[in-house]
Amino acid sequence: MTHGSVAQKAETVPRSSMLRFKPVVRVPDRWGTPLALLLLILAWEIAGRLADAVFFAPFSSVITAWWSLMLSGRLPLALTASLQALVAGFGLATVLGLTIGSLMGLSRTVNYLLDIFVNTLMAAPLVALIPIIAIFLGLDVWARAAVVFLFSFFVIVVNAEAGMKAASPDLIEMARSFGLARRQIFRAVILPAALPAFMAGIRLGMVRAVKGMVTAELFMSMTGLGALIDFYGSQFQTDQLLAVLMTVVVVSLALGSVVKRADKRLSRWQLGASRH
Amino acid sequence: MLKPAWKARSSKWGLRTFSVVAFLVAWERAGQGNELLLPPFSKVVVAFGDLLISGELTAGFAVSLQAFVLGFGLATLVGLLLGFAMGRLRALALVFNPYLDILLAAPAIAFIPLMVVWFGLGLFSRVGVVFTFAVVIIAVNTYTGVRGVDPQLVEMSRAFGLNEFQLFRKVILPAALPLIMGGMRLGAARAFVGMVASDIILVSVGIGAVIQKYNATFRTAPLFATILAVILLAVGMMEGMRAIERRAYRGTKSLIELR
Repeated sequence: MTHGSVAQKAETVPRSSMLRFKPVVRVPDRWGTPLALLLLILAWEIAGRLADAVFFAPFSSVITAWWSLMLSGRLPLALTASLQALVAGFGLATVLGLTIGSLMGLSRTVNYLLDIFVNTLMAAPLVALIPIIAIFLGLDVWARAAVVFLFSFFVIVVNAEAGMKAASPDLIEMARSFGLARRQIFRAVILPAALPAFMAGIRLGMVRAVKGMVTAELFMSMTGLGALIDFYGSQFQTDQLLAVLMTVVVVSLALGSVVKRADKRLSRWQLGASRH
Repeated sequence: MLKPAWKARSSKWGLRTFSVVAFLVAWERAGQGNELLLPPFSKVVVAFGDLLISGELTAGFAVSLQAFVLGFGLATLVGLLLGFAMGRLRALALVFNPYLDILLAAPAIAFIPLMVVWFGLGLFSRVGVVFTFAVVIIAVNTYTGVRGVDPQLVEMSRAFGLNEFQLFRKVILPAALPLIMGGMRLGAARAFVGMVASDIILVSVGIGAVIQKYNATFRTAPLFATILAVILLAVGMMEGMRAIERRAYRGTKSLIELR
């Protein structure tokens, strides 16, 4: 089992086993997401108008707030500050994670030397380690990058390790009997089989990296998006707060879709490679 | 050449013991001389003992875990209900599924200031944070589990005249249980993170207050000991839940896992 891989999601919701009500209108499945979006915006707008301005803000005024934050340059500035730590931490986590995970998958000795630490820290609430990171590294960009690294590293390691074991032993056996050298077996059999798990690890690592980024900003240095969230929260300026929150969610989605797109491209390459 | 099983096992544990011991020795060595930055392992162990004896640790956890129990309980209730409803009603699934996918990947910690706006600073907001961290993964796992039930099985039970409640008890719940329990375990892990985060950032109470206190006064040995206790408690809890699952599903195939 690929550790932490996400279950395959069917594109459509099966109908046959559902509770049966006579539907007022049949909604095709592809309308689901736009419809859900429309419903959310509508509910948000109505709830915002009904509620006290301190508690909630209607969608329209959140958009207005978002636009003025963009124009004033506060949001773009915060975003770049946030992304610096993300890029540094996540980049390092990807390179080191894939390397160490692969070594663990290939060598039993390396695996047994490291697996206790990896498995413990994989399950540990890493937030608790932030004070220690602050003691070692201070409160600057590098400290935030370290938090991002810590959040995303272990899931990449675990998936890379699983990927290295994904190639079927029969295939390896066959490659060996055809006289392929170890290096060739690695390139032609083991690596292509490992790619899906590598990408799964990178995808999950990216999700965790964004979490680490925001966590570090809220905990240690008040910069970036975290600082804006904290500021508008403490000022009870709910429309601005929601605008920044929306930005955080959209950014994490956008980064996720970048990884997904890279994954698709790579798997196309992998299919091409396996045909040779 | 294959090694005999006992030999392979002993070398496995030998390597693990070696690496843990090497790590602790390196920590001890690195800590000597610059205790303000990195307290040696022995001092951390002593501090851990002191914290246990003075009751500071247990008192801190007792306060923190209140929010955990309430928030996780509520998240389980809401997550299961939502997941089941989505699994049985297509319209609900269509509306909620996109948002659950989004919230699963979104950093829940960003919503902490919103909790302050809504609930102020106190037990309510802490419970709110724990709830926010845990509820989505429980709902998603429950939904995936319920939807994964073989439609033919449902069809057949209908043909045999089971009503919705019987169907739920006899068919859907047993089939979806592995995923539901996995979701609860992952939810508990997230809830724990939410608890620690809210106790440090939101209101300095419970174990968060203990961490804050030693952090502010640069007493690194008790600080490290407290953090170690937090991590050990969380990992222990996870392992316990995993063991329960393993016992419950011994012999069944590996579970699909969502994160």
